[in-house]
Amino acid sequence: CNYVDVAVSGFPEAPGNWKCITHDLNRMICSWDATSSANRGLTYKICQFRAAAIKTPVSAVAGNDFECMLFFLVSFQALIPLTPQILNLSADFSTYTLYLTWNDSGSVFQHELDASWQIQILYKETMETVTLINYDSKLTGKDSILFWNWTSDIPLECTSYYVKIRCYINELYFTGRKEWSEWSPVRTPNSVMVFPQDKVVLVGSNVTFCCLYNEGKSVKFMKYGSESYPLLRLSKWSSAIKVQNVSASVPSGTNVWCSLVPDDVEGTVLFVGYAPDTPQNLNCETRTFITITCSWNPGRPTALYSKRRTKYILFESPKYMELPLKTTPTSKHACDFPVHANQKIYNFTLSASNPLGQAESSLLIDVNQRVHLETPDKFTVSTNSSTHAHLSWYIPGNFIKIRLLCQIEISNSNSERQLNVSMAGAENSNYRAWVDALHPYGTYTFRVRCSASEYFWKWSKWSEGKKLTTLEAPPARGPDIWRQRSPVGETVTVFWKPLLLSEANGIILSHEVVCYLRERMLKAHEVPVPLNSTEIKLGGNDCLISVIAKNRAGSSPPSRITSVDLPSDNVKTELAIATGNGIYISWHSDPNVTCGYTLKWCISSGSEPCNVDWEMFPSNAIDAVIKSALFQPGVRYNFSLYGCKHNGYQLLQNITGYMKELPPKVAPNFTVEETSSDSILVKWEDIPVEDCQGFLKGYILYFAKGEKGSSKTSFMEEGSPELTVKNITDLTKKSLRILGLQGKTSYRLDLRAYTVGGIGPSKDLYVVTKENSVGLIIAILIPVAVAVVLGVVTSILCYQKREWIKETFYPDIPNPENSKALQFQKNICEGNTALKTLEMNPCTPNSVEVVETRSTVLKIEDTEIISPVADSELPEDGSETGTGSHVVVSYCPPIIEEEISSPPIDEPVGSSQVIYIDIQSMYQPQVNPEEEPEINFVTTAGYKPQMQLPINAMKMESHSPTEEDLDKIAGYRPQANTNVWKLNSPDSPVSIQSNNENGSFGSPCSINSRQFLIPPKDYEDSPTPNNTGWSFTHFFQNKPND
Amino acid sequence: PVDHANLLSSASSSSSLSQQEVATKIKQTHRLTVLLKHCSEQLLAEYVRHQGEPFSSPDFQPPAVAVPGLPSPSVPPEPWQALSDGKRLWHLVAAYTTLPGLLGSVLRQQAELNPLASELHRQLEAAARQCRGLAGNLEGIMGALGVPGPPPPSSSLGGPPPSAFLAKMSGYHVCRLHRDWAMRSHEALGLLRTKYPL
Repeated sequence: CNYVDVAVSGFPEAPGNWKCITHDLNRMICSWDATSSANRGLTYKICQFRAAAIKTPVSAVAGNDFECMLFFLVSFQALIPLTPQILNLSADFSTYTLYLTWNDSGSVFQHELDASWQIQILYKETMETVTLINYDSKLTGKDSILFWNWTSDIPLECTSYYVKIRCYINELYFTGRKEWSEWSPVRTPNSVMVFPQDKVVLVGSNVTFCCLYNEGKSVKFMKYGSESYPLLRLSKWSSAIKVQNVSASVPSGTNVWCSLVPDDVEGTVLFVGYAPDTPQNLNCETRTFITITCSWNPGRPTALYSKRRTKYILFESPKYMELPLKTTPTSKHACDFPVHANQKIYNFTLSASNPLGQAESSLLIDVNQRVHLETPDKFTVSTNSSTHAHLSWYIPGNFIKIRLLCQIEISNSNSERQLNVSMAGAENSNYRAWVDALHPYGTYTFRVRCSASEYFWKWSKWSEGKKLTTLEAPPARGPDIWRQRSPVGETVTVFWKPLLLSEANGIILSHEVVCYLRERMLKAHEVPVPLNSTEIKLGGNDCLISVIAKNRAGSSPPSRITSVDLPSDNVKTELAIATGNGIYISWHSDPNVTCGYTLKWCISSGSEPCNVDWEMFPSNAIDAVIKSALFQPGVRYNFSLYGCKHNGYQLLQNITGYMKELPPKVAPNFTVEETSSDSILVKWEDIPVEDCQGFLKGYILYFAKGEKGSSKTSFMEEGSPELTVKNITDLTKKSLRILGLQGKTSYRLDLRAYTVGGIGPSKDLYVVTKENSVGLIIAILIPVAVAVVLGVVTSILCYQKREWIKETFYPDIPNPENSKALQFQKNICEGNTALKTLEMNPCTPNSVEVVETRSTVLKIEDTEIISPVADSELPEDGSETGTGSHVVVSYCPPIIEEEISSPPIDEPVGSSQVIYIDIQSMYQPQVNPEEEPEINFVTTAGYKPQMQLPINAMKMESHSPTEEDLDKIAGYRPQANTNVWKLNSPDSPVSIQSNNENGSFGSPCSINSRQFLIPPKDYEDSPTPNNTGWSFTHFFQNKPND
Repeated sequence: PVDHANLLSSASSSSSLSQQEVATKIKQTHRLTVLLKHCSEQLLAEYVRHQGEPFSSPDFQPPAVAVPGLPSPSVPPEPWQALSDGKRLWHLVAAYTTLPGLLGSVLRQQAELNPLASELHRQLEAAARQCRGLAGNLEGIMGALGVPGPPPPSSSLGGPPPSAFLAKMSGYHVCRLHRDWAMRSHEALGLLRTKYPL
């Protein structure tokens, strides 16, 4: 029992409206109405009894002080399922269908139960009931999703729809009342939608899409594919976009979508494509006479797939038959149509359609004229002969009503032929054919194809190829044979040529060589391949030789030849003509030749014995071009022509020739036999035959002046004026004298041989002609003779005039007036002291008196400073070493002409005792006036001091008293004392003259020197004396002038 | 909640599998989830590639939709991890027994919408196969651990979708759920593997 405390005052009444319900058969929910409000403090005690007890209630009422009332209330127990909830309600506007899903909440119950559902569809704003549907299901003890759909009579877009659902559980063992659950809340279909839904339109169409949405939502944007379009507000709950000129969509269509606020996306798909193209190349043919296969090309793709794709229907009017499409490996479409037994003509119409349109193609055919057979199968070839083959193949299908034409292709390595065979048709049968005219032991490839014979439409494909080799047959003919007797005639060698493959009819195993003497077999030789000759001993008898080729199938007919050689005399050798690829040989016809000519030759390769080869010609032949793969250009071949006469073979002619003549391989060996001053004799040797590479036509000798080492090309250059060419065509000539040459000249000779094929290589030789000895002798003798004659004449003259000569040149007493030898014209200064006595005007001897002993004089040698000891040894310089004696130094003072006038003015003033002579006149031969400014320094540097001075003396000099002192003291200044010169110079009247004048003027001149003693540069640049620096630099500069 | 010790004891009692064998099975299944995770991402990418805009747009994130019969993987990470191993396995098995049917429905829809997308068809088929395989493995683990399995699933997406756009959308949701469940299963098996080391 449960207690419910309620404050009750007064008498309790039975609780009213007592009700107990359950939702899950597990829990009971009871409810009652409380009694009058006056009764407070009541306590309810609820007890549950078994059903039976309830049915027979204990009517015991405890009516006592406790004020406790016990009521037996028969409860109204009820099973009321939980209110169901709609999970989803969606609408398919195209099919006017509503889709409903809900959860059956089966897990509420622990066991299986039957459930009934009532679904109510309402519509319009007034919510009128459209329908009430009952739906039964089974609850399985767990939750399940239940589906249900309903199709409306009117489009769903026309009005609003509402759906609600309730449940009823039919539990048989439940004793109480069972009631329907509450109705679920009303649900409207999910109405956010984009229209049109899944529409298919043509490419280029203009489409408007609209988006419908529920109250409380708004549209953010609408897109067609990835492109946004401006929104057109249609109403409060709808917007639209206009899309123009739509292009073909992808297979899954183009999405059109509507983005909503709050977050939601709805959309639709537009399929854009093309209407079907007219089926192209519609072709119907039969392969088996069981079905007709029609195939076509669909043409332009429609860009539509699946249920929107193009559907094809093949009609055969008047009958209608829709046929399934066959999948073909190519883009072609095809389908099969059955052949009717008594129908020949078929009128096909192919219709193509898709949601956007329709197209058609038609074809009228006679099935007998449209036979395209299957590829022949199970093709076999066999043979049991050397010329025949049996073929067999299988073609599926029923061709009883027509004839077949089959083509058999027979090919081998070098030929191919086709054979047409007509045969009656059969049903799923093997067909056979027989091929003849095959070559024995030939390998062939066969294949076959077929078509209808009467109305050719198409060949079938070729069957697979099969190879077959026919059996062998005896060789078709005997081999070509030739024989050659040994020089002595004891033996004969028989040669034969191998048979061609087409003649051998198999593999040649051996040759049988037999010698017959008057029909009697003398000897038989079995020669195995690959030998192609054998030797037979004749033993003094001639015989008839027979050769037979043998293969596995048999022997060839014999080839015969006699061993008789007729004697021949006066056999000539003639030359053949090279044709470039063969050798042209002609001969004179011999009337006695009755059984043809044989031309035999031998080609040797290396050291092996040569291979005999031959060719036979009929009796009327007079020439032939011999060709052989073994012939090589530039190689000489010898041929022998035999004539076949009734009693034997006779050698008629020898021929030699080339396949192609080439220029000689080598130059002729040549030497110069002798040379003279104007001619050369050249000799040469023959070129060996194997080096000629052709018939020699002659030699060409080039010669020209040329030294060894001069380039060859220039020698051969055309237009070389001195090049002489001599063509020697007389082959017997082996030497040549070249005349008209110059003596003692080098010549270059070049000899080449030539053939029809061209000029061979050259060989050079240089030769020098001899000297012309007579000319040389004359050239020597004439000057000698002239000299002798002159000598003699002079001697005679001298003898006759000896008195005069003596008088003039060697007088006994020389007359000074007349003595030219003793005259000194100009260069008086060159004279030594001894000549001074003879000095005449204008040279005035002067004497210098050296007063100051302390003064030292610089004597500067070219490159060294000589010690004072050496100095003293120079007597003529008279170095004033302070001996006190007057040393007289002679000068030729240079006097410039202009200055001659000045001495009279200067003399009284100047204290100098030095007289200057014209120094310029001395210089003139040496110095070019124009160059003077440049060489000024040099000339100044070229001073030849009169005295030698030690370097320390020079230093002392530099420390000498001041310039003024020196000026006063000095009468004559030693040349080395540059200080003095420099100081003096400005005083000199000529110092104002130009520099070069300055350089040459006012400078003392040594007797031994033609150099100026004072360098003008120094004079200008160094106001202060610096002897040391000056002297050293000038020592070195002096040297070249010395 | 079934705790670890209980799981083990029930495992040893209910089946003959040793702890080692259970650990091996968990390891194998974990590896399978690695593959599934990779494949599910590929599948989603391949799926959206064929549906056109807005599906192929990288920022397309429509609100999640509950698929009937399929437990939602959108339980936040903390509560998910707070679940007992048994409960997590239960959810996984429930999901992976439902997914093959859903993927099959998507395949049928795509065969119609994208008849030429053979790679997508192949991947959808493979995904369904992998889900069945994973469900089998998970059931094996649950059996070994003595955890009761979930009820058999309701099969597919129900009736044909009312429009091509909804078909694309529902397919998208299935593929995305597949991916999400693959991540969840990978995570769950990873956790389990740490608890049952080899």
